[in-house]
Amino acid sequence: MGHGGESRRAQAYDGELGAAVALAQSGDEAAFAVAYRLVQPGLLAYVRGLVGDDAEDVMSDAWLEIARDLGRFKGDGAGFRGWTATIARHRALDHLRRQRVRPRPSMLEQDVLDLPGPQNTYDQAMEAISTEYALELVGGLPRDQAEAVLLRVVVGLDGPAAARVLGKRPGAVRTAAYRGLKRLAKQLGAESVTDEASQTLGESK
Amino acid sequence: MGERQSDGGPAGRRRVHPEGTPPLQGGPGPVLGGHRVVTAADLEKLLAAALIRDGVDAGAEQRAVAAFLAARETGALRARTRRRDDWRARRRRLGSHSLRATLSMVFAGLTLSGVAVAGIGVAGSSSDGPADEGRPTGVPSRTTAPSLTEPAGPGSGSGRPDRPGTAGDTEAHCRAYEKAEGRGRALEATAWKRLTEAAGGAADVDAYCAEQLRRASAEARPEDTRAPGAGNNGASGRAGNGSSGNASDNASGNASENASGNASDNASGNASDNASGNASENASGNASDNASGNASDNASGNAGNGSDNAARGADNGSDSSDSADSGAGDGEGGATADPEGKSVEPGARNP
Repeated sequence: MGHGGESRRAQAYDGELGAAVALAQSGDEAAFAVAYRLVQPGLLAYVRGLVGDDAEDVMSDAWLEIARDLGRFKGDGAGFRGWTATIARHRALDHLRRQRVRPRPSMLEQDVLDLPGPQNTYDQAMEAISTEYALELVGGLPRDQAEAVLLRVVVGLDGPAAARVLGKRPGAVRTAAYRGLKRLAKQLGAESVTDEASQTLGESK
Repeated sequence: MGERQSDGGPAGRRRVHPEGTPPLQGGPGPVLGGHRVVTAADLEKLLAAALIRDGVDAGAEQRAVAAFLAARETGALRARTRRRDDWRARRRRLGSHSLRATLSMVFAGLTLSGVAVAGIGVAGSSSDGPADEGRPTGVPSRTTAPSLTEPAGPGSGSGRPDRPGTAGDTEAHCRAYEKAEGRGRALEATAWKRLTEAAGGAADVDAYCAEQLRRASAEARPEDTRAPGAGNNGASGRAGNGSSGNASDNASGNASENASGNASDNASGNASDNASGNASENASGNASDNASGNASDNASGNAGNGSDNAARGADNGSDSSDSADSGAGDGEGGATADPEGKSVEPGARNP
């Protein structure tokens, strides 16, 4: 599919994931643990983008539901990622409603952290950024853009799957992801974002 | 060189590059004319590296597995698949359209956008895909009622019941009436009914129509050169004249015009005009007038005022304030039994 970064990585494991899920559905708890380890990091990162520090709690709730409904799921590894992302998202939104807070990660005070600011060079920024900084950047996006970017980048969902998770049209999600990435790039010091070789942004599979 | 940024909290960037590792593939993006350009892929990798923590919390995993075992014991693994649980590829997904729905929408869109081809010969059309989707003949007649389905003749098009009874139809009716007269055919019952209502009696229809059409011509755009009152040719194709062109254009088979011109005209001009009952004026000047703000004129109620209308007609073209004032009391004269009553003009009078 040509996605960059994590999505490619996630998809590389989809075969293994699909097999693990199938086994788990027939009762194999070791296989369930394999599936857990494959999807949890991405889901946790996604949820963290929505609820911040409460991400672990939200994901615990989500996994209760995932385990309970595992027998209902039908699909392959990629489908499992989409299905679990949907569940995780619902739990995250429930959490936000209970807390009546806006979906922004709870960040520490800026001056406490040694956060790279705009004065850092482009080279530095593109080399690596801290988790906190990345969360702050993503948290600063409009929520539809943040979700679109996260689902794509950390959960590794393709356009249609992300659209289904978000309940939106694929075109809208694609646009939101593009805009989000563009904005992030600017904040990191890049002048613009190009699609170039990866063709990820123009893709609409 | 890789750790210059702050240490990203607990167990943060495991995938971040240790000393000596080249940053990203090929280093920073190309510099084009002084601008830094980053590929989406690079940015995504960067974000993924920063946001995703490798490994899982052992305790959390144990809890999840415990939940799995509990579910297994209760037989939850045998639960049925709900729609939301079905993530198989190529399944019929929520929000995505079935072939049928997609083609229906495409077909409706085409008809509305004035692709007359769909309408012409629609009765027999089963060669296209949409035809397989049920009732292609039904679609155009519903969605583009007056425009595409004109099998009968000049009279029949003007009074199509499924079309909202815009007062602007009156002029269209008049045209059809005149045409019908010329050809010795009777006007359709509905159209005739409207005309008699507007004119105040069957005997008056002649005079009423003559007046309507004359005024309509007077107010028509400069490029309309037809003689006032002379059996106005809907067939000549007044592309922009909202409802006035509808029926006659229908009759003449200018399907494309109707579909394209009417949609906007009707929406823009007739709504407000209907409210005031300006039967003829609605039809004539709407397309341009509404856009330019003369809709208020129309709404002022210059209907049914025989001699006045001619003068107002001239006014409408140029001046927006006058008629609004002067026509204040004339709304009732519109006499067009128009049920719409919709007005988009703040100053319009709603009957």
